[in-house]
Amino acid sequence: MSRRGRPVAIAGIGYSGVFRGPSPSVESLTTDACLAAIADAGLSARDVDGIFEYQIGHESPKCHYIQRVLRTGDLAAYADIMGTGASGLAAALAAVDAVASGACETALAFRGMEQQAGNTGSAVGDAAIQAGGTPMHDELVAPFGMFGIIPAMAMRMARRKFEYGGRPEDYGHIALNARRWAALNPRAVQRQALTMEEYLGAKMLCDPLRLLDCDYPVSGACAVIITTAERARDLPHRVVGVAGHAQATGDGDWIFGEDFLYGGAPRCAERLWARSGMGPADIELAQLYDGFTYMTLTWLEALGFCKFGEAGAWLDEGRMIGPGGRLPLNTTGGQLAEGRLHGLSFLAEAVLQLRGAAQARQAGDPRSAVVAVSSGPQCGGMILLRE
Amino acid sequence: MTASRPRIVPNLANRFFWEGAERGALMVLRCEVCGFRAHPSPDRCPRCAARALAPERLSGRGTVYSFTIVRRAFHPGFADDLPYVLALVSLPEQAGLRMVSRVINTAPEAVCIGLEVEAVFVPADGFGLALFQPVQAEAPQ
Repeated sequence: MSRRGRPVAIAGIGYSGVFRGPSPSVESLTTDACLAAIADAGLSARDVDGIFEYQIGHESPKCHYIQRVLRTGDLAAYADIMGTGASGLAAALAAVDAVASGACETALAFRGMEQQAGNTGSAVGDAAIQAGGTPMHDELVAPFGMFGIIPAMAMRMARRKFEYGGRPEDYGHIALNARRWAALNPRAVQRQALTMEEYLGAKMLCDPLRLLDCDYPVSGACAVIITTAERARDLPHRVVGVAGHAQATGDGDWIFGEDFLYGGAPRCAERLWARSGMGPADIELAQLYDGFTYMTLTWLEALGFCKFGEAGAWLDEGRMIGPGGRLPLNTTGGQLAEGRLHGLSFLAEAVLQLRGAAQARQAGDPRSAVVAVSSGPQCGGMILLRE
Repeated sequence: MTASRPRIVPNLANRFFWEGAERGALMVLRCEVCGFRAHPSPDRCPRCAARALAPERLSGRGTVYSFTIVRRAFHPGFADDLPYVLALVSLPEQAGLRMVSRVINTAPEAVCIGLEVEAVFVPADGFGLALFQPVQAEAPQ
């Protein structure tokens, strides 16, 4: 069986402004993105009967706040998803399930961000580390001097080199690619070209992980509208359907997991291909999470675009994924260059590209796309197909 | 003055780990029913779900599974240590059993995956930290 429940489509997408410095409140940014997505779908807030959002922990508005501000009326389905999950895409994955199952008809999914220190500054506070199991095991590893996700990512890069080989330039091509596309995206915060020399010369944070392997913290929000494919056919845009969607966790551990390099990604990919009845050869566009360049590179391998350990060579010095390449990748510049909107922007951009509405950065006329978000024990993805 | 570091705050499940290191012993929980060892410390055995878990003293030997040289202070309390080596250390008592620690008493550039290491214990917050040094390293000054 390739599809579960009613066929579902992404009918609307919306962004707030994206800010590097002082910005409106996260409530205001999130409201802007939600209103933009509803308008883009050709609907009104009264049509929304489901809301799903993702956050790490009480840093952005919840469903009830947006319901009240937008005056959506009663919600038939909603959830505040927190802590673990495929970043912002987790909200859209839940919305797809809710619409497919008939729990609601038209769902809004959003992710709001307020100038997070992001991956480049995520450190726990100076106070005592609380006992009781954070995803990164802070209580157990902080006394040794391990904070946040950067050292864990650096250790993955070192281990991947040990098991498969590869060069720092392999990660560099992901960073350079982001800037190439960002130059075509007025919303991106890092639009200047990047050379390999600059990438290799970037500040080393944790060998072999450089500053330019990390995404760029911004304030901003992204939202999507998800409804039945049947209803979407009466709305203004070309219909972009969800041909398959999936999540996976592996064994659920960021640091001590058995598959330290890939976590849940291979299992997520397996589910995506089985449910969509498609394979890597059918995909014309990829939007793959780039919180760290490592994540993008390993998603390419887990999804089967190339063999494990071979993404570096497969990139063909970046030609494969850039403008005019065979598999255009992260066409907004991703989180490395557009800014860290945390997962949902990959879905929004895929929809825009499949509609043929991505303006200067439009990557040909793709009909199919894969979106894959987060990494390790928090993997999620979608296969999209334009009707 | 050096900024203070995050303190060790033991919970019921991991107190033995920090207390063991204070006594110079590397400890993990082992299931009394099926013999499976687990780190971080779970409430139940991850293999058979038994609640009967008891601390077991390990040899203190290990191999570097992966590592990174930390060059930026992610916490002000560690700024004076830079650069330092964080490592995932494979423990030989059970396949896949690993812990996070530091590799000390060697130049960071001399650390590599597969390096054989042994535990060396330092006091911290009234408890202890099990760090590692290369086997056959010079005794610390």
